Amino acid sequence: MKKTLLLTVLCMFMVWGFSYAKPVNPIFNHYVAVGDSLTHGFQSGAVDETRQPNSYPALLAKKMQIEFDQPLLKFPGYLINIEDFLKGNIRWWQYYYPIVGGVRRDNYKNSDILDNFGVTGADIKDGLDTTGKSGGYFKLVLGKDGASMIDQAIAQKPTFMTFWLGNNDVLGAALSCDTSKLTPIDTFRTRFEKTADRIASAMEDNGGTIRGVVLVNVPSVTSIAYLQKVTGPDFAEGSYNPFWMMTPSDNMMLSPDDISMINQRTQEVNDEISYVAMANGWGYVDANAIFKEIKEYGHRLRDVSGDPTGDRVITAEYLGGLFSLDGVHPSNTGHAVAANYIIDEINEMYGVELSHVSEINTAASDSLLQHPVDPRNKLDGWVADAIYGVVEIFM
Amino acid sequence: MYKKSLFLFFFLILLVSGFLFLEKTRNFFTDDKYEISYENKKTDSSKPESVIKHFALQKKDSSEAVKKEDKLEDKEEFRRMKLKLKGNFYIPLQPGDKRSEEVEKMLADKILLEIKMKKNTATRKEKIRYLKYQIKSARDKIAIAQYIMNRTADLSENNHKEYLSPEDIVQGREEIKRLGVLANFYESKLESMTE
Repeated sequence: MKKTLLLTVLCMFMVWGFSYAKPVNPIFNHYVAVGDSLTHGFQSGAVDETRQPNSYPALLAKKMQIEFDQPLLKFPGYLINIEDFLKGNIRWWQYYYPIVGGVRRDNYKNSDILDNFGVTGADIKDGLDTTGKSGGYFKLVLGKDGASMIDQAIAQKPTFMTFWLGNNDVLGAALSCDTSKLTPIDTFRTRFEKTADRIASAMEDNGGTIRGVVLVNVPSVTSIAYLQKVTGPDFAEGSYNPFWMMTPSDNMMLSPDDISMINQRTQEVNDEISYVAMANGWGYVDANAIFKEIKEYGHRLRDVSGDPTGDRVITAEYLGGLFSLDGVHPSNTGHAVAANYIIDEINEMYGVELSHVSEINTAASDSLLQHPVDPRNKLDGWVADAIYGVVEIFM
Repeated sequence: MYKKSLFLFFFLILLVSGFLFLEKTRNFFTDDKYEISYENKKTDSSKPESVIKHFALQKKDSSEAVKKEDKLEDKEEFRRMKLKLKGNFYIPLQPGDKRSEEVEKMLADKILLEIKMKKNTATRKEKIRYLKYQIKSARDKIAIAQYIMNRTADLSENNHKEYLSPEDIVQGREEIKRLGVLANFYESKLESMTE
């Protein structure tokens, strides 16, 4: 009888042990992500709890088979998602949330266990210096008096980190069509190296916990759907304006010289990111080259094995599938694509075998791809705020 | 007989545990079982935290009756909101609705002015127009937030549905206070410009 009891207890413990998921590799015991709106899960002009689970870091965590805590915002979030607005998905009383500046689902109770430190609007100086006291998205992610993104991320004692900051240092100028908004390259270099040094000091070799880091660089402004070529006798060939300007205006125009200046700064910023990755032996994803390739050739959707077996080819054009309705941030499918390119790098750099996110399945359940809606010519107080919000947070 | 029972007992334990294991892990490891329903988001603010803690995946809402009831309520409440808050920038447009050309022009003008202000290229007249838009935006937001607070409180007394949580109300009051300060600030700026 005793034997039976012992065996039963043993059996139950075994089952209990199995029922808890283990990371696919110990390097992923604790993954944290640091970044801007792309990491935050911003889409179509808003961040909210229904799309945050599809942010590329959440998809990576899923493939690592680990839990991943995010600062979820009650639907429909801060600002509003243009798609939800145009499709009438938002209940009458839920408009309260964007009006009051977004409300954290957990009422900040999970602040000590967060893993996603992507903050919409953050640029390189914010990584180390900006705290929750700055309000807005910083408060919503870091907490009212919370420390900076990097400080909080490192305090989590992570074993793995992805870092994708720098977009706002360059893209802000493009979105607001104002090259004076470019972060001076010397400032960027100093800040980036300071941030990288802080991460390096928390590596396992230096007595910390981090065993792997992947850096991602900045895409080219002409690869995103936000900017569209302007044609007409009044404008220099190669000028661009935002997709939402139905009638081209000099107030929101990037001349060929502006574009060239932004591209040059992008190159300088990416050289810095690449150098830091190499100097520290970290992974490096060349998002700039990837987005350029997609812009030129489109992207055939990949399955879980990473093979491009999908029937559908998405593009980087407006409503082409890669970008959400704000033209800057990826759609759900775009996030799956981004996650997969990062997985490619992680697998190669760290000799692991993370399976890919099925872009085919993601696209099949991506409402924007399945039932597209076009906000152009449907300007409304909310859409205007969402579009302007995208411009403003980058400024 | 004893051995057979023992074997059956363990087999049953394994079967149940296997089922529990699959249930527990499927939302982590599959791409297909769960998906987010964008077509009809009915976020329930009273949902326990544990349900949405990590991935916040929602099963598609299969209860057509609930959807219909909510849709009817939305239709009525949007209509009421329009009536009570005429001219408010933030009254949500419903699919098929159209704003007047004048309001659309005003909204487009608002974006351009905001950009000109940021670039410091706005004329005095444009600055005045910008300040007026900002005051209207802040006051309109306050009006909507207060309206929703009051209306949901009234409705939940009658239909016992849950809308805003006490924490939502606290945050709303803070934001209303902030927007009030902002509107006053723009008003004093406008006053000094038009003196």
